[in-house]
Amino acid sequence: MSIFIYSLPLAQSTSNTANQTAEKAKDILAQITAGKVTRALLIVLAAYLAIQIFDKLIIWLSERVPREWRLRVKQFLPFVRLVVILVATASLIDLFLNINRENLLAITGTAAVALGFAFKDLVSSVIAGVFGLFEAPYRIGDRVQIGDHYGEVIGYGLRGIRLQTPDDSVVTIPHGQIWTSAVVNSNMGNLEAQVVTEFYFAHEVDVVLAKKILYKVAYTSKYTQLKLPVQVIMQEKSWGTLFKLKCYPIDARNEFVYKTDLISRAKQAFARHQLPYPRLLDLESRAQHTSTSN
Amino acid sequence: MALLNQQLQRWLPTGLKQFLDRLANSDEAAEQPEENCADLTPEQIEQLSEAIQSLPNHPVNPEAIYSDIKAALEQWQANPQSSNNSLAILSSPGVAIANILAHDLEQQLAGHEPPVLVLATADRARESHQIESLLEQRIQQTGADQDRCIVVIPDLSQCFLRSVDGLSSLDFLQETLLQNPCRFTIMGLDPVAWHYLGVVSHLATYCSQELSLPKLEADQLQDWLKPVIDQFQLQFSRHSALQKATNDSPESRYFKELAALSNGNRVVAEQLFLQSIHSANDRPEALELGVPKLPNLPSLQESDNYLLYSLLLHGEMTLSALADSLGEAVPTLRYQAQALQQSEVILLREDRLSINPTYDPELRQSLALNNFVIDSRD
Repeated sequence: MSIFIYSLPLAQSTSNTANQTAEKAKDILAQITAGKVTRALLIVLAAYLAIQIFDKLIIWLSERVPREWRLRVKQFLPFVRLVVILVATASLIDLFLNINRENLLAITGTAAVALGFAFKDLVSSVIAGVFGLFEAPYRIGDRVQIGDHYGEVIGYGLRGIRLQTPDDSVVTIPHGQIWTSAVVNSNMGNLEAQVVTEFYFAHEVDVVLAKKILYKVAYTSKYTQLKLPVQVIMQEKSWGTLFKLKCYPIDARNEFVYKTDLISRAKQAFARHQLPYPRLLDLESRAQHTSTSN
Repeated sequence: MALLNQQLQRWLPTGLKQFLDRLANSDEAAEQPEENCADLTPEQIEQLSEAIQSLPNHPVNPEAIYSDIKAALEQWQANPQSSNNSLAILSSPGVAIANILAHDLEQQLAGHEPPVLVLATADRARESHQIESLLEQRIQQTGADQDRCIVVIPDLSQCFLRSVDGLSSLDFLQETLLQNPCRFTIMGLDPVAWHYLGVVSHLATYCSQELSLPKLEADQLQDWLKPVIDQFQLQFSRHSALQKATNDSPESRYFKELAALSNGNRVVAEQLFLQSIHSANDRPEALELGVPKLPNLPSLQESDNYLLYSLLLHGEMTLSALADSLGEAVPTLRYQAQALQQSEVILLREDRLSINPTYDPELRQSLALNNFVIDSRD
């Protein structure tokens, strides 16, 4: 009985608040005029054009400055975009909503419910994107692996990033992925990223000679960054010996051309020294075995 | 004010400095009339070139270099079993030091005991796998395989190639010369090649001493070029670009500018000197020295940078050797080299490509900014 007495005024005050909020929302909607809508469209258009111009300008500039500044210039892009979007959003809010404490309460109450259901993933990605700007798990120009996708970050948008894959496709990945997936970043803002090239030999290979050739291959490739270490490591497998050549190109962009150059130089040298490759299916000995048994 | 400007210059990043320099130069260029040897007749240019070629190899009294070499030799002779049996002399471009070592040093140390033997390194073997055997042959021909001798390698850049087979000659030189305390080896090369060897081989580690050819001062250049100025009665331009707020004579200002632009490099200075000569405006038969200017480096593609770095590393090389070192096909590279020749960044002399010396200082800076292992101060 006492619960009913106390809960009655509470229900009344909740209903009053809901009515007031609805009234406020009506007032705000009543203030929308054709002039305001036109100005809003102009603001959106200006923001869109500004983002396009800044995108083009920063990309153009980054390709013309000395190589060591390229990534630094490119990394301005998401910040500039964020500033443009914030300015445009603030202008639109100022245009349509007479922001005071009561209005703000009314709008945020309504918006929070709507956003919570309809735009949950979008908001999650936008927030992740803002976090990403400061935490920097990836930046423009970085070479990253997110899930099954690997490539160079060529765009950093409000909702996600664009990756250019080795086969020249562009993959868009929502920022929200950084909440749940591991991000493997090869160069973390540096120009160089380690390239690992694998070479396979038979067990009887001259290990010293193979290592010597691989070091020379790395030191003679025009793409090699000589300031960074070159390493050859080996692993013994059931089918033969695996050699891994670890080195860095001057510019991570050349990763695949670099790998091709390394393999091409190495194979020429292996052929000259007749280094034995592994034989997974020893067809020759099988053929011999078959002919003798016949 | 000047001090403040110097401080500011020191704080600025190299790239920004370069950018501002270019802006300043382009303003100056806009102010001044076009003055270079373009208005000279081919005969006049040839006579001037011959006169410059007949000058001594190095403007500095070579005694300074020889005294260092002699000190190193005495140290080695006093302790014949020590590992101090080699000396690298760095200079860019390598041509200057190669000439000094190939000609002047032999005369300077004539009759020296043990004997001085100069290896012919003017040209590299056609195929990279033949470099080692050619070196071995030359060592035998000069008698550098004898027990006690001083071996001079005027240009070490010609003794290897940046290819898998082309590096094996470095191991051979290391084993034959540097690891044998009975032989003293003097090597001349460009700092770019020296940095490269420091990374890729133990040769630089075995080399016990290194010295750099001193940079030239304005007065040294002035004394060195005086015979040419007197022979052709060259007048110094009183151009506004050289009218700084100093009490220096036009001649003194000209050589200060020349020393600064060439970064104290003889080969660059002689080219800039030659290019600054033009006919006098009032008397066409008279010759005048205008404002020395470094040409602006044309815009380069990424692939050009790799090609130019190879040329800096090796000094001079044939197209096939260049293709071998870059891992490219000759026809592809020929087209690229022709484009660079047309823009005058590289020169072709007797089927050998080399960097145009007037672009050398700016090119080194540009490559350093593009992440190549190069010290732009060299």
